[in-house]
Amino acid sequence: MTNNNKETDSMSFSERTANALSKIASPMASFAKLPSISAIQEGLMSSIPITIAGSLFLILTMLSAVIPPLTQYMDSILNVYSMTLGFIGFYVAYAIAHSYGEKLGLDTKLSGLIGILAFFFICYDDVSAGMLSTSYFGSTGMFVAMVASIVSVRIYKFFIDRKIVIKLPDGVPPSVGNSFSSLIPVTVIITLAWFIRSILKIDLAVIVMNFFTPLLSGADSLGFYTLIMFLTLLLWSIGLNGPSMLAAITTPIVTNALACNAAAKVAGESMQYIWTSEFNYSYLWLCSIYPLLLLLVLSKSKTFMAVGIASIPSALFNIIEPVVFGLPLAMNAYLMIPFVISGTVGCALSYFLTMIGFVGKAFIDVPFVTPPFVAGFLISGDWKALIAQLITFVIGVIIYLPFFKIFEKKTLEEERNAENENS
Amino acid sequence: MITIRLFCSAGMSTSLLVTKMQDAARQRGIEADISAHPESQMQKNLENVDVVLLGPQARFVFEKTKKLCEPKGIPAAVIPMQDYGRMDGNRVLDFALDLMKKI
Repeated sequence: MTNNNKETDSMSFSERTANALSKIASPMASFAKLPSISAIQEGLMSSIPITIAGSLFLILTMLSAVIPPLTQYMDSILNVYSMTLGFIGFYVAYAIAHSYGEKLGLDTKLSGLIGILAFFFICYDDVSAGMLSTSYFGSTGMFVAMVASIVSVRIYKFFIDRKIVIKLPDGVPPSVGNSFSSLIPVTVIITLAWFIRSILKIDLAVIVMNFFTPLLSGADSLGFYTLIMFLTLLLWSIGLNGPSMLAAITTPIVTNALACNAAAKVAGESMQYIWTSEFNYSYLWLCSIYPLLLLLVLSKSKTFMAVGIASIPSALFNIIEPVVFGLPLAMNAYLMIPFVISGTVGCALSYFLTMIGFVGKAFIDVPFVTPPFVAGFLISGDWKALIAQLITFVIGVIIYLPFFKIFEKKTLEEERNAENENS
Repeated sequence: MITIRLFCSAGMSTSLLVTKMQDAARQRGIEADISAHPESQMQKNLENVDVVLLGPQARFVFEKTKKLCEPKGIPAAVIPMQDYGRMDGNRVLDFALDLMKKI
């Protein structure tokens, strides 16, 4: 009887936590669902293959220390960096506008082009010399690209909604009609952007950057990073994909950080940012999920061992659903606490170790499914990342141990009871 | 022929389950078209679909899912946590077939 009571108590505890968290999370989720916000996020995410491909070439620049013949191609190799990571602002201008147009039910091809047009007209007032400065194409231009593509596509939508378009007779093929129907909004968008940049001489790129820079450096701090990681872990502890819910806020921060760090690295300057998505995935599950997997595999309980072994292959690639829902870890009154604590402590510590310069900062983009013990070293080119990872992992094991033992004892008793009933 | 679409944040972990569900369907001789997608691509992947399943970690988009699926008459539900965690293709296939019957 007492056992049953305890069960209901622990359930209601996790349910209470879940309810409280859903209340916190729901405004977050509605913010993320705003068409403009999710378009920015999707647009930035679609640039990931480009930054990863560019990063592969940045790895070559590191290898040149080991393979001297590479040195003579250094300029050409850095060109690849310039046209991938270094052009990120330009690419996302198209991708964000395309996504936003899709969400608003507009012609997506034209929306994408309008994004690029607005970006160009807002950034440049003089192309007469036959040259463009590419400085706005990089991370400097990323935020102006976001603003320009969202505003311009919204203007496009305004004209389409009010049917302020050129209508051709019914006999004209639809594809011809479409290109004409958008003539008025496109002309207005170009005129507006041209007027701001070329006539009023207002450089929005600089204004936007001045606005975002203090926010970005404020966000990349030990306190804020730890808070975001704490929320991420808390959401996962009730079985919600935390990173995906918080991505509306974090994606612009981390995309900019990596692009800036890569630019600084190439220019031979010191890197500014610690918090990148690559840094995150090098430590987050390594300090909060891997310790649990180790304990599961070493456990005397057959259930635990089975779940542990089954969860390892996907966990190696940062996919944690099998252990979160299979054990389950989610809503598990015994394991939620060490999961959140080990993750928060591990992330804060890894940030601290990077801050004091023990581990190098990240400037290489890798897919989020890269095994963390490979990623940590690869993204920074610093082997000491492995030491930092080992420390956070060990701390994780220590934090889990007392909680895990209690949970294991209970599970072993249940297994024994089940066996007795069978025999 | 039944068409099942699974959605989660990136379509990563649901794709693990898809393989298991396809095996289960094959063993039972059910002709099934099953695939996984990120939830942001949901709108594009609802043509001729019989049932929509959501990974439990993405259940915060269930409201949006219902809004997209109900007008098309597609039943939608969140996969039970334990079945999802165990990647139990058989049980999730049953779950999907049950949902179809209810319509």
